[in-house]
Amino acid sequence: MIGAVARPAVGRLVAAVAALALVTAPWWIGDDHLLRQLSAVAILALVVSGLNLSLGFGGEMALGQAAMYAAGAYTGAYLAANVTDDLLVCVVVASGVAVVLGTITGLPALRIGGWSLAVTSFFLVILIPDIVDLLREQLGGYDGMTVGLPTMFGSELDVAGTYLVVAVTALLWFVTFRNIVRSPWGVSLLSMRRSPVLAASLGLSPFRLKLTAYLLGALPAGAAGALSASVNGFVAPSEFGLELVVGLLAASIIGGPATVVGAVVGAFLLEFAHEQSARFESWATIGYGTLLLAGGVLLTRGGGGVVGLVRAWIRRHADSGTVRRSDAAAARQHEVLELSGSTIRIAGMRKTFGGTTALDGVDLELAAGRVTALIGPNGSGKTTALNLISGLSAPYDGDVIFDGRSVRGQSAMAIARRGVGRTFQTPAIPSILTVREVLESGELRRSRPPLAATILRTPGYRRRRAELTAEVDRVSRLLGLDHLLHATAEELPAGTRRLVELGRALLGRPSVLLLDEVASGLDEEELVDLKDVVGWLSSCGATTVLVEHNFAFVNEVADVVYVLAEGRVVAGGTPQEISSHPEVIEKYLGRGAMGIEQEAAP
Amino acid sequence: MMTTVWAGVAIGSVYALIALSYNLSRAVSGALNFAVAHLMILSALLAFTLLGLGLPVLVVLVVCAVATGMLAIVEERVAIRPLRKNDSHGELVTTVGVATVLTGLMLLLWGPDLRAVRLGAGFDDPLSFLGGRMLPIDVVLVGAALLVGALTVMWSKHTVSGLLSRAQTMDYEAALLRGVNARRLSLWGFAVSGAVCGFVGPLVAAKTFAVASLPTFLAVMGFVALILGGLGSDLGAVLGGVLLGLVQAFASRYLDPHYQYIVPFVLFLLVLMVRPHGVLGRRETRLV
Amino acid sequence: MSAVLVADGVSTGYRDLTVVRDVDLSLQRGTITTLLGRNGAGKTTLARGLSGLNTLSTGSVALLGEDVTKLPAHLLPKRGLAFVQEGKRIFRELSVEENLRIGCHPAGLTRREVESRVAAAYDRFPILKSKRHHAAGSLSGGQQQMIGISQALCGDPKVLILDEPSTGLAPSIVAQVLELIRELRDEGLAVLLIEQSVDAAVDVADHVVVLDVGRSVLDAPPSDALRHAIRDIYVGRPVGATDGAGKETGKPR
Repeated sequence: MIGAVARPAVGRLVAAVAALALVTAPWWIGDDHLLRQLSAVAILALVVSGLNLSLGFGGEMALGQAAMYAAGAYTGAYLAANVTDDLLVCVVVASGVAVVLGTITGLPALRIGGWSLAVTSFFLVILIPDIVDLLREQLGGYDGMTVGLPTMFGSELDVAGTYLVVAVTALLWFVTFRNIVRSPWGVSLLSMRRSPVLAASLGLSPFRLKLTAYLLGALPAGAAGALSASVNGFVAPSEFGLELVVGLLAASIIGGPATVVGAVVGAFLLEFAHEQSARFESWATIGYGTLLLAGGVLLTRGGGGVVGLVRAWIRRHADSGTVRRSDAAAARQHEVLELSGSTIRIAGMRKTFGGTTALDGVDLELAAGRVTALIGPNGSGKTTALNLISGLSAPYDGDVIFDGRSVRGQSAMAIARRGVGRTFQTPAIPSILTVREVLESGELRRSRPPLAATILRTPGYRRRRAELTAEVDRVSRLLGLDHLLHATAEELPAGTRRLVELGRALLGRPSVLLLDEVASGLDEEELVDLKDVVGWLSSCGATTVLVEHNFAFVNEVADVVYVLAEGRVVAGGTPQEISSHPEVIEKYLGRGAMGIEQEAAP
Repeated sequence: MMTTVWAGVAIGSVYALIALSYNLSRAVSGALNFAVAHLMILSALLAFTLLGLGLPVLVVLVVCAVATGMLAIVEERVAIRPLRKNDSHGELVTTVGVATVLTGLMLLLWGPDLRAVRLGAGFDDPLSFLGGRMLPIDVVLVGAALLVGALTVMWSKHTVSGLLSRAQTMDYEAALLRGVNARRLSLWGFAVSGAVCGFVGPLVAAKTFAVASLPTFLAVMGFVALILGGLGSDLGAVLGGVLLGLVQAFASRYLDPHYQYIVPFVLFLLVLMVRPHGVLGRRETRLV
Repeated sequence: MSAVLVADGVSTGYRDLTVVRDVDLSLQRGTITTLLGRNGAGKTTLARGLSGLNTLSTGSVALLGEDVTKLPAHLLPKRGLAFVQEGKRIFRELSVEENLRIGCHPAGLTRREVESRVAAAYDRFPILKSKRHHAAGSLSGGQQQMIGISQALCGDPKVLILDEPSTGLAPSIVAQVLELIRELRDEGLAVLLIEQSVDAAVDVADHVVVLDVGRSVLDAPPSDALRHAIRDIYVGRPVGATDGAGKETGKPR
């Protein structure tokens, strides 16, 4: 049985053996035809992996990879014919051209996403023949152009030599790709795919992330284009038709768009189908379509594809889950996280939605090291207040002042970066991530390692990762999640998901914690535990804000309670003051209750 | 000059018909059906075969409409209904999948060659109109686009099922609570929109030709027309289609045929940047 | 009195979360039953279960003596159940009149009958008639609530479930809404009124059911003693002692 800890090592070993086999292939495969086929698979895998970045991780149907692949191929062919036949130069320049094309065509449609983006990609592919023919002097027109044998550092490359360049390029890219997605960058992308609101609350810009994913995905597509031009010795517009777009999409979805190796699996299938298609073109097309249909129905369930299914199978048969749950409550007794709370003052806040006044001149004071609860009946404006503080809902009248400085008009992202961590009424947890990864994503609010350092796994990056791992271990121990670090977060029970969200917020070392109905849906035992956690939070120094309906819970954990009704603050004070406040009792509990209160008062 | 205008309006009517079908599929099921152009051309190929058997045009059109309507019902069952619960853009993948299956079917049954759909001898003599020349089939297409557009608007504004459809796409759950059978609505909506595609498909192909590689191209152009006019607006779909056709015709005639799609593409990108909700579109709450 | 809707041992929730556990409920013709409980207690979830929006994990629901447990949500309005969701969930972009016409759908009326049904709705709320062609979402909160309720009434229901109809309305409008609910009761409807405010709820009720942590902890006619008990449930108990307290108050049935 493979233990939970041993698995990454096994994976690494398998990957290393595969890489070695791939690079040494020319020495144990004598057949040039087979080498060409392997090159073709590697090239397709490059393109599909680019698609995985934008589709699986970026969550957008950005199918521009086919057009970028074409741009790469023609750039390579043109350079080889006119400038230099050095394959390395061709590959690098082709990648650059693909990124430029991606920027021009991606920028307008990425903002909107959905069908607009998909159709832009289709349209680009439609234009390829016309553009190529306009430049027929340079690019050979509809009939295509031949590409001479490539060279590298001045010497000509034979089939095996070209194959080696392809294999090494593919390996380098896949290591890069893996390093990107298995890092805070990958987690940011998946968080953004889950919900733009979640991304903003982690201090991330959804648009910038999407664009980054799309442009990174252009790199391998461009490189693959230049390589394919050299491997085939020929480029023609008919290679880049709409069938290619559909084929790439099918390959990505079947392999698993949100995985790394899925691209290789998909590329194998695609190349196999391509081999057959000369004889059975119509059946291959029907096959792709059926795969898309099936994949599309399943896509909404995570995007793991074939690779995801295999992983789930391994996990089912291998996971021992032997890590013992430590006593979190005891750990909290003598360990605190150093959180420097902020003082937030809210002055005269007003907000209307289409004629309904949600908040009508609300003043609140939220102090550091205190638990402040906002309570009130439905529609009283509690959640609206929370959304205004975290910048999700703008514009509004009035002001929000953090430690003496107004944050009015700042975006949710900017406010998150100022130190506001939050949980959501319905826990927002990206699919396929483990608890550890979700917790790590909380740190994104503070900083994200530079992309280059992430790809190269620099010593600085590794040091920070080690620190983060230790930090996650610590927080998970304090919250009693340490036995679940390897579990898929989305599949945990609702109460545990809330704790995971809280942990994620804590990893960002927040000065302000906004907890939106964190107690709802918890059972009795979990409530007792949560009460202890919230008490501990304020001893850590954070400014904690609870939006709650559970009056009994609030009574026990809050230092200050504000009662909202119809968009106004009806009362504010200690829980004791609130539970004997006549107006509160009338508004919130009803007249009958007031009589009882007076009876009960000494 | 006027001949170019008529050419643009005619091809624009084809785009408009596709854009209208997109709107209709959205109205009944909330999902945009990428495969409408594929249904049209499949129907055209069917018409090609039936006309070859010597059947009268009207009979052929009716048979095609019924057959395509049934195909659309199958599509709804396999590509739309399973997505109902998870409200994401799953149809982006599934209806592209259906389109691909249909493309394969066309290749399998009719091969990769161009097929000309001839509706009758009278359709080949050009007419003169406002100083430009126009083919009778162009007039038919313009008429079809206007008719389908008008019928869609009337259906949506003045019939019970149109009203329920609009309600359903606004708030699915609230519609259920008023007894709206969303599944049946979606199924019948697909059947009707499929039948419309089946009816106009042979007309479209009588102008262009019928071949398996055509519909994906038409699907893209139809979508561009839809975005130009504004998603969800039927008037916008017609105007967007005509605008796109005119831009294409003029770019082809006065620049170079190579620019006939490049110029519309640039226009499309510009519209996406400046007015992402189209010329007549309303801002939707969130498209992302 | 005869039971229009009977729920027996109903449990329901969302995906892996059971929110309502083993609740019994019986709604009588011509009575107002109010469903109380702090938020998160499962009131809305129960209503969703009764109206078919959420599937039941256990228990059954009978409507006019017929078992409707397994029926899909869209068939229940035809059988006389109308659920007005909280937050004035009307079709905001449609006109007032279109909203009312949609409401007539479950009754399966002819065009002429629809017109007269809509006219009857206008008689009840003349203000809606003057705004019949306005987008429903552009009206005031109170008027939107009127549209929501009228829409439900157009389907000729036998049971009307109202989820917090007074939320976000000015006190004078709340009084009007409660008055309307009394009228409907007098016309013979069985009304289930979900409320958070004890005050409004107990005043108007013929019968009160209180949910806490998904269970029915009180089921009694309104009385001062009831107010006591409700207050206990709302504020009085320490966290983690629900079950004991729930049993303490007992089920006077």
